Parts: sequence; structure tokens; C-alpha cells
Amino acid sequence: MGQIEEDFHSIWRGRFGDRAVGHDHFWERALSRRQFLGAAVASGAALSLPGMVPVVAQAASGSSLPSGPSLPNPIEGGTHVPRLIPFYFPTAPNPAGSTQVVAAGTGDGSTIRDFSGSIGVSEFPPTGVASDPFSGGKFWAADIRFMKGLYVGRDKARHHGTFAFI
Amino acid sequence: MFKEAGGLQQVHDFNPGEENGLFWTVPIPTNSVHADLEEGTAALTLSDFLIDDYGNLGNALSGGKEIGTAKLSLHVTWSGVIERFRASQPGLPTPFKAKGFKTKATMRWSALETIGGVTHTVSGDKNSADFGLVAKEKNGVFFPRPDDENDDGGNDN
Repeated sequence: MGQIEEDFHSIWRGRFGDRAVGHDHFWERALSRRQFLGAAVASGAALSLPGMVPVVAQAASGSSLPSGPSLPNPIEGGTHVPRLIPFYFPTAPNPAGSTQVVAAGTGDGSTIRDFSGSIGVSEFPPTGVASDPFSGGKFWAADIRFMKGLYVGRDKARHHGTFAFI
Repeated sequence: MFKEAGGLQQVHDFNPGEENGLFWTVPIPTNSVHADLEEGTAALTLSDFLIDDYGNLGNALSGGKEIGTAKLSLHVTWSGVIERFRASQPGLPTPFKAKGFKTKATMRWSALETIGGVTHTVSGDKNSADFGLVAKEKNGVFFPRPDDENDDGGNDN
């Protein structure tokens, strides 16, 4: 297992213990997919999946949301996979073993860069009571954030926008 | 969502993917967020937000297919200041400066989900966060220069 996979694995162990995740080559496959996505972003290729667009929310707002070149760029640093999409976990070191933690003021809670505005970060432990008669889920956890303000888009222009990390 | 306490036997993993070049981050309507950075309060509300369910984190990160699609509604509130928060990290690859508050936070949510043609409702009762933060931030090209008179992203002024 390489350093990148070890970073993710260490964070997972910290949160959920040593239980197995997915198949035998899960962490390696995760890296492969992220390399593909990162390469697509770096080349400017547009990937669009209809299911990813918040159609209902957009229609309700009566205004268009940023897309394509007017989207922001991701931050650099943190739990970082070269050429891929990095981010900082709120309460775990980024990368594993480092001292960069959002809660300590040494890691960035924003997931977008070239940004000036307000942020909200919240991390909920897996103790929330859930109702799920279909699958039998009883507890929930979440990391939910917002970023609202001015940013420089991929088109180099300044935009105002609001984003959620879900 | 998990079948057992402590994050065991995950059965739902709602996230918006990375296909837009951001990590699980998507644009939302501006009126979804209300923040008062002087008081250290904020609220995020989403209604019927279309999102995929990958079942578990392993499937999500390994490029697996979604198991269903849901209309997610959630409400997060940040309030109850715990302590002031100030950060300045000029040495990071994306330097940032932030000033605000560590706060308490609560969230409740529900989702109307269709899996295999069957539509059902799942929901999460209100729970409290183990970490909350509301802050004003500047990063990247907006990271303040030493002579920036408009710097309000972390100074004492």
C-alpha cells in the first residue's frame, strides 16, 4: 500500500476502526478512480452526470447556479493525492500523521480555493438516531460544510456563489 | 447511515460525487445559507436536493455505481459560541486566513429515495456535532498581503 492509500486508510481506521472496507483492492481502486477524475479536471474535460445536478433546488431558487468554467478550483494541500482532488478532514490530521487539522486552525475548512467569504464546518459523529425501514439503518454521521462568497473561477473571472460540501 | 452504533455496517452514503472537479462540493442557491459572522451563527437548508446514494464509503470512493437516487432535505444550524477561532497559514499550498468562532451545531435530515424502483423515506433525528466552526475566510489569491488594509480575514481589527 502506498503513502496515499495509507493516508486514507489511517483516517478510516481512526474513525471506524480496523473493519474491512469493500474488496481486497479497495484503496488501490479508489486511487485509480481519483487519478482518472483529476486528469480529466486538469485537462479541462467536462464530465457531466445528470444525477449530480441539484435540479430541484436550482429550479426553486429561480436563478442559475455556477457550472463549467465558472465553477471554482479545489484547494491544494491537505489529504492530498497528486493530480487529484484534495481536502481537509475537520478533526483528523491531513495527511495522516501531519499536524494540519481544521479544528486546530492548521487546516483549511474550505474545499474551494481563491475564495473570500464565510464558511461553516460541522462534523457529526455516528450516534445520530435514524429511521430506515427499507435498509435497517439506525444511526447516522455526517460532515457538512458551506462556503459563501467571492471566488475566482476556472475561467479566471471573479464570481459570487454558494457551495455545500455534503 | 449505519445499522450499528459507532459507524458499523453502513447502508447509505449520500454524496454528490467529484465529477464537477470538486470533492463532494456542489453549488447551491445563495438563499440556502444565512450566516452572521459577528454573532457566530449560521444555518444551511437544502430541500429536495437531488443526490446519489452509493451505499457505503468503500463503494463511493472505489468508483462503484450508486445504489439509488434521493431527494435530500437537511437543516444545519450553528450557534452557541464555544470559543473564538483564528487561523493564518501562509505556508500551505493554498494559504488561508480565517477568523470566527468554534460553535455548537445541530442537524436533522430526511431523504425520499428510490432504490430498485421502490421509493421510501429515510430520516435522521436531530443530533449535535462534535465540531462546529463559523468563520470569515480568505484563501489562495485572496490571502491577505502584509500591507492589505482591507484584511479582515483574521486580524484583530
